[in-house]
Amino acid sequence: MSGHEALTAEAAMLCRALTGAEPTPALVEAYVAGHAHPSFAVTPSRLDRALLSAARGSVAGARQADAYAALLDRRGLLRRKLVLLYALAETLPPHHRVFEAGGPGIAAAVLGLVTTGVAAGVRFGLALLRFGPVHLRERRSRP
Amino acid sequence: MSDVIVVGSGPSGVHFARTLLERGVRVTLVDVGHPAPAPVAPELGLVELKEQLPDPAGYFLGAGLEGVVLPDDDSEFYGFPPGKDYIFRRPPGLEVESRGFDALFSYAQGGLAETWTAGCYPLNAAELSDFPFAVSALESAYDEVAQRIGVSGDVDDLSRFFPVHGHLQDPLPLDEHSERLLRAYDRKRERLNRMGCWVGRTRVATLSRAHAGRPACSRLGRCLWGCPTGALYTPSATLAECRRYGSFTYRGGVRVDAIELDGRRPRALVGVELATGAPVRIPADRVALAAGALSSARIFLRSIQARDGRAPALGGLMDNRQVLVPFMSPAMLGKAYEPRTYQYHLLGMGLTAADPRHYVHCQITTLKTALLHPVAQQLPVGLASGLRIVNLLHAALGVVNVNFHDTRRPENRVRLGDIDESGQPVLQIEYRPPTGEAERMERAVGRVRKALRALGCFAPRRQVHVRPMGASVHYAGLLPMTREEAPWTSTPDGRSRDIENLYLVDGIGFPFLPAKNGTFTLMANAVRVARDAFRD
Repeated sequence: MSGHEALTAEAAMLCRALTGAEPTPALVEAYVAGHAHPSFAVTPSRLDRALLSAARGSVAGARQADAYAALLDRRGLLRRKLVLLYALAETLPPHHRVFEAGGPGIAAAVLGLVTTGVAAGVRFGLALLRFGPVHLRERRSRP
Repeated sequence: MSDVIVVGSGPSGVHFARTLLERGVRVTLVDVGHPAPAPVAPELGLVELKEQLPDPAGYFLGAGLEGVVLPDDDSEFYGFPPGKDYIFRRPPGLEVESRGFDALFSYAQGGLAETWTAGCYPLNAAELSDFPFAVSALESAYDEVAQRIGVSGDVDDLSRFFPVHGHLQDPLPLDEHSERLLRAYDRKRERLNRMGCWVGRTRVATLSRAHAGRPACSRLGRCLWGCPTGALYTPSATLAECRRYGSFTYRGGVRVDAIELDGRRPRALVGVELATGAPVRIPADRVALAAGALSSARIFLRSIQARDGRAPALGGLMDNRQVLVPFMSPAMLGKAYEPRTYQYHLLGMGLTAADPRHYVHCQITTLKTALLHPVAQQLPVGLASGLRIVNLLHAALGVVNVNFHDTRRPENRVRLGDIDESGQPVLQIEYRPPTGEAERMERAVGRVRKALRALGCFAPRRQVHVRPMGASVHYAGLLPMTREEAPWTSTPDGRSRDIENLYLVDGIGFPFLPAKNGTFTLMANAVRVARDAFRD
């Protein structure tokens, strides 16, 4: 797979994981173009590769890797890619509607916060089991 | 030849120039002057922009996606939106080295106030006690500026901190979140006042009714990307008014480097025509520096260096430290946010201090149309979960911008350094925070968080963010106005004591920097200096 094709497939998976929808061609194009930013011109670490591999494999894997990066690899490559995709999705139609979807009322909001929090906790627990050993090995191998 | 040459088209320069023009003085204003791009689809609201623009990501994030806040940099929550890039584009020959100070410069028509949040807060007698002129001298200037630019606001509990001036328009309508906070304050007023905390409407240079050819705010929700209608005042509006005078000449595209001196008197401005690189020499025997405190200092120092072979270090640089305190109002949980509202602060909070000059000034902004990816990445969960959480919290979020005063200290200085590649000396800036600043901030933030709790809000300590020094861009104090004669100072009527016929019109002449945003005072002081200069 060429670099362009790999980024296109990656955009699709991350978009599904983030918004629950397929990306539009405009979002994919902007996502690929966004990788020209110097922030993405890095040699991936062992942890970067593990997180990216999981994120490219399935929606569940992407969400687990996302949960792990949020707490333990906040400046890692996957996190940067997810932030880029988030920023693009919130400005590009029709994805932007996902970000305008507030207003369900207080009861639904509280329920939503609780369920999202619990799901995030579970996801992080699974992610810790999956990526923790890779992360530890990487840390130990650092000079 | 014009009677006066003004350098810089920011708030000080244009109000100084306009006051002179009204008195029949011939004025030339010289400036780098990057023009603002034409507003994009000025009739559309923010959500419609996303749906109707051919390239919305380009508008909101920039052609190179420079508006994306990546996790690499945690110095600020938000950067400036890409549509405001022109404001900060720096021409060659203006290099800066700074320690402890993130200096921002503008070379746009209208200056840095093209990207301000429109807060207009007159200083009171205590805050002006270090200024060597009568408070009354500034009062009528505040009135005049308010009439020119249009200020909306209210006479309420915050009027104890902001003197009431003339020409105050009705306040802008509140969004639901701000309205709830104000109602909560009404219920808890006594308790909060006992804590030395007062809440009310901010005063903003955004029109609630049409004025001076500008429309009232139509609440498009686009303030952050630049008001497309002109309802939010920026100095380029006054520059446009100046250009209607036959006695006014605008000369853009020029980098002014120095004043050529004949002994102690100006003979000409010297600089470079940026388009061609050709040297420029503009004969001038009366000059007003209004390029912003740091840029004016550079020109001043280069003028002295060219005459004497060396230039001093100017001490006393000041800026307002700012701390951001994000908060959440549970009462707004699950509500839809309002995209069609005014986006900047509608409420303010004042914290008293034992010394009234040390008043702490806060602006309360509720979250509306700002991009959410910088918010979502602050949460300790993945971005997929963060997106859902931010959606549910969106209408309930806000931030208090806490501002602190600053005083002149000799160690905070500006001087000329080595020559850069373009042959110009580098401007060196050093800044060290005052002793005890961390404790002072901690105490004030504690009071803000306590006040927010009383208003029914939750403000997590972990999210409190201290902005780097220089970020507030209220620079001042390098050639202060004093009553006593001393080198490297200015007179109470804004004239340099080192160069005759040189007016120091911007914040460079402030002897003290109160916590309030000083832009309104910059404009009023420029009016005052212009009136004094051409009284007859």
